[in-house]
Amino acid sequence: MRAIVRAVRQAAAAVSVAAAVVTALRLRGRVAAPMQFGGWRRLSGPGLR
Amino acid sequence: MRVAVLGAGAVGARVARQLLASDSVDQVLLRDVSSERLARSAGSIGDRVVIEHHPFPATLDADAVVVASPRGTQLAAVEEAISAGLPAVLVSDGLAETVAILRLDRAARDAGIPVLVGAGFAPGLTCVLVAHGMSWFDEVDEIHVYKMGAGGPACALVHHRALSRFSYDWRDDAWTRRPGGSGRELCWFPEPVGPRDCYRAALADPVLLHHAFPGVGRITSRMAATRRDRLTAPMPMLTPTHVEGGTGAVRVELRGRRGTAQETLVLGAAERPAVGAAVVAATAIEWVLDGRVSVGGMAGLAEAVEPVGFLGELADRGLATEIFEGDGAGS
Repeated sequence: MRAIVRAVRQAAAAVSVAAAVVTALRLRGRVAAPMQFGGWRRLSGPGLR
Repeated sequence: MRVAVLGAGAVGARVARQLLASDSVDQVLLRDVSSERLARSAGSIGDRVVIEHHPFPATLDADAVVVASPRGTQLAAVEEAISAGLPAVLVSDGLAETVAILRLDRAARDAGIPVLVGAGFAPGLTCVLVAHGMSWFDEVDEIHVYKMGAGGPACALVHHRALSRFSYDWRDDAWTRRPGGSGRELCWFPEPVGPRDCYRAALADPVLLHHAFPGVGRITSRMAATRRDRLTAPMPMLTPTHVEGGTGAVRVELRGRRGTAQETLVLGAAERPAVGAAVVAATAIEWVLDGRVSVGGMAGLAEAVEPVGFLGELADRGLATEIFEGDGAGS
């Protein structure tokens, strides 16, 4: 019985640690943006085109 | 000419400065509940500004009104302007309050005055960009608006709350309610902002754009946010806001038909949101005073101003408009 309780505790601890790590990574991490094709140009001329 | 500017925050103080710098008005009446904020703003504006702090006089002694006060105070300010018969320009960004203000249309029409709603950075500049973009097409099917950044503390609070409220998109002849913080889209804003993840939020742009372009089938809006913004959106703001945010940007995307081809057009602008909002509001009130606004009653900028002339004046004041030329876009 004691072995089962210990196993459950260890599993709960492992899940908690994993959740904390994943949460920290998701809040902190930035995925590289995919490539942009083209670019911005200032509108000019009488019709602002 | 004398213009009353209600609110001496990041936007209101700049509107007063813009109006006096362009010599379009003789005097600005600056009102705020905070005497400290008034003293700070008035000191940097010059001697042609008259300040009024709480409790305010019963009458508003001006030829026109710019409402740049925080969300929750604008409806009462518009009612006061209408009852005094004064044309007004509002730097409004809260969805619920914008809807409530638009319902005063009949009162504004009866008073015979124009009231320009959402004359800031977003909504405001976004509406004019859409109006300009419409001229590229024979028929527009979709309008999508994106914004990034916040101005002063009051704007930051609206920005924070918008992510936890329901967004309203116009789709297939009905308003579609979706949770704020959903619907992630990666968008490129003009430099230096660049790519940002954008999410649905309770923004007023679709309401104003549907008012101006009821025939467009789909109108949506999103705002840039981080994962932390989304996580903390339902909570009160845990840390004090900055006095003013950094560089922000707006971006509008129109999809429609030109000739026989389906095309997409992307227009945008980058600026500190409070600066951009002040430039748009100051230009709008000058147009109202010059009689260049054709509408009576409640209207967004998309239906009230001629977009090319208006954007040209914004560019003269340093707020430039850009077009994204990517694969097939804007061609």
